[in-house]
Amino acid sequence: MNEQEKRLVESVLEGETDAFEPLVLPYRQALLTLALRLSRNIEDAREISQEALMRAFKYLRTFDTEKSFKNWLFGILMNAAHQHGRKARPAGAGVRISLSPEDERQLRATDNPERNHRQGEFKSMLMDCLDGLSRREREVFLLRDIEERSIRETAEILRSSSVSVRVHLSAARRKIKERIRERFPELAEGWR
Amino acid sequence: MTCRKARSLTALMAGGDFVGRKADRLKKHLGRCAECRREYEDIRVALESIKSIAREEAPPEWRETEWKEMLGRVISQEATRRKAALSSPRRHPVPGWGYAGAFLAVVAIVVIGFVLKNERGKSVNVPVTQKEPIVIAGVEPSQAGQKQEKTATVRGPEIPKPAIESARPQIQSIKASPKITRAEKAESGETMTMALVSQDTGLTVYWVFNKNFEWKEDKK
Repeated sequence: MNEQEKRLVESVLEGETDAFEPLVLPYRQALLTLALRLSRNIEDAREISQEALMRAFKYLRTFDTEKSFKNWLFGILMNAAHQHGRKARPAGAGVRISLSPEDERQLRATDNPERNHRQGEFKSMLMDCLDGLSRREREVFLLRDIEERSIRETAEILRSSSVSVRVHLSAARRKIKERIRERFPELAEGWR
Repeated sequence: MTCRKARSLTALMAGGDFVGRKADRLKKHLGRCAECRREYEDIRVALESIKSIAREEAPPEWRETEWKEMLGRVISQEATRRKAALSSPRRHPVPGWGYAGAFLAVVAIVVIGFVLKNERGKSVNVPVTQKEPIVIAGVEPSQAGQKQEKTATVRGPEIPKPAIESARPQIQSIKASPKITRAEKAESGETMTMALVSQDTGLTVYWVFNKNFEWKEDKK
């Protein structure tokens, strides 16, 4: 955690609530992106991000300033997403991607139509690949391979052990490979 | 290293999460085994593809007004919560050892109460040992004292059993007499002496019990 963040945390804890925004501002996009990849629904992602920020504000006193604020925030988001998923979805029900047209436009906002198309494909492909994973595998895969956290950090965020992370990561990577081979054979052809 | 073992580790190695001595053994195996090498390569390329897809995708963005509104809600809710916490009487959470202590205290009170109750019961049942001479109706205190000290000895001439038997109805009648309620008991060592005095005839009967409650009779 850098010095500026430490100062902001201290200010918030002293009652200066306006210091909370500059503290979380650098992570607002990362939080929403991770929430979207976990929930696969932009409205849910917004709710999860809001819930995570509320909890972060509420429990800021418990944060150890020697550790990474981003990791701590990600850990809260993971819990919020997990609880949101359990509330919103009855056990056994599948997950469905639902983006409003405006969100779709926003997600693909770029000037190049060809790139737009490619990104649309990539987005659905990424989401599709993630759909084949269990909740824990998805969390581990997103944190380690997409957010590029280390194994130790991933374990810390998920309050799990490094061994458990390795096991889930290995399974997730193999499933992703199989998923690409099944669903996107044209991409898999390009591997060789 | 076997192919099965190698397959379980290739996914980790493909993402750069498997290093060290075992990784060297795995590399050697991959150099020898074409199948495992292909598996490793497939996972590595799949990972690279998915990472580049993730990097290229346009991340969702907060609309500025939406972000401000959301943050405003977060801050105002927390501020309200803090105000409410300050205005409401402070609750001191009871720690775990507090509950355990309270439980032990209750148990201790119950046990002490039970023990005290038993002690009281015993003091009612067991005759009180008296140091001073027992005052027995119709008998001088000094005599009573003497008798208390010599509880183990039977005073006077030996009374034959039939005489004791014949005396029993009299004693029972004495017990019935209200004046005889002053009959005293004394305990010395392992024996207990009981004196029964008749107000009408002046007859005094001493009963000396040993610890087995066997008794001897002495009449005066």
